[in-house]
Amino acid sequence: MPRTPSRPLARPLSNPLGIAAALAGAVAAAAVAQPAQAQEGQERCYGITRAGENLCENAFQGHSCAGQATQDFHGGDWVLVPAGTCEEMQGALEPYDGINDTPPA
Amino acid sequence: MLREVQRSVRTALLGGDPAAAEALVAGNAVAAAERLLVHRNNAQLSLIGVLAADFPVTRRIVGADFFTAMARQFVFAHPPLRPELLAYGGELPDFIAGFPPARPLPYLADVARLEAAVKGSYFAADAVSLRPADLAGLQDEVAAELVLALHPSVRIVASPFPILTLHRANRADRAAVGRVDTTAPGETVLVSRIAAEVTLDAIGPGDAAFLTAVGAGRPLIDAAAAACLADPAFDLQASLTLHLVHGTFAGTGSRGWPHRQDLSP
Repeated sequence: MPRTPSRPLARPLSNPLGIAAALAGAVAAAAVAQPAQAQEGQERCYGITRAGENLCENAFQGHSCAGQATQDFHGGDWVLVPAGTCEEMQGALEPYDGINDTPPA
Repeated sequence: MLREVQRSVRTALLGGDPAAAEALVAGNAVAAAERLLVHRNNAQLSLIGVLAADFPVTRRIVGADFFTAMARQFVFAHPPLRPELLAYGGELPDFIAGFPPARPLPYLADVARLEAAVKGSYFAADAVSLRPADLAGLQDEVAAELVLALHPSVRIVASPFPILTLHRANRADRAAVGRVDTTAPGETVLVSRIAAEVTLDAIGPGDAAFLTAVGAGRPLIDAAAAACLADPAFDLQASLTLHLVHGTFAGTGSRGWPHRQDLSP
């Protein structure tokens, strides 16, 4: 059974000590890294998406899901952005029926 | 009676003999045929529209005309089995693989497979990812036999073609389509929706084998062995770090899972 790798490993992965050491190292490294998920601290921002870039539904145009926006910067299409940055990008926190006439650059 | 009506209308809508359905339409026969055609067109176009929305990269690679013609053939061959447009189109990648006009583009089926994974990931259940602290302080034997659960949105798509590069170059929001060397090495893609959006990340063969084994319920020690078989340079600590930060794991499995399974075929 070819469990032995073709060249020596820096860290043996076939024994519990190697696994535990790798896991402990990963836990320590990941704990200080910036987490990728930030579901808290995000807000829905309307009117700043280009066609096809939106997340979920548009209340006015009748499409139901991600990527289906057909107009740039429609006020019914939204994306998630870090909380507090939506208005900086000329977006709105509430949906509206119309096109954003001051879209982000 | 209702069942016969439904069957005959369905036949007419999906490109079959419309005679039976025409006989059911009130009014004179010519008008009935034309009215059924209108209905048939609408039914087909809505399904083709679903496919175009779900496979925008595939569509961009082949162009709208080719895609629409191919989608029409697909609709005939694979009518919807459930009354849910969301569930429609999962067989398109396999259909493309066997679609003779697509043969000059051998990577197309895998690109469509990647798009199907993106859709599946988007609509997968939500879950809270494991935090690093959840796995801190485990004893050696416990760590080795640890069974991790993948986040429900995780999909892995492997291909002998550079599908992620192709996908990125042909996204609908890109103005200019860059040239892609389709003979470049194959790519394996981790598709996931950990936060709100689906993300696509290239992963190596060792990482792919590791996640596949974890997803199959193997304990860490076996998943690590599978990864080392696929890639002797696999670095377990680097992989675990990356996935703890990314949020790839969403829980731990039961300690009683059968472990030390033989990984050889």
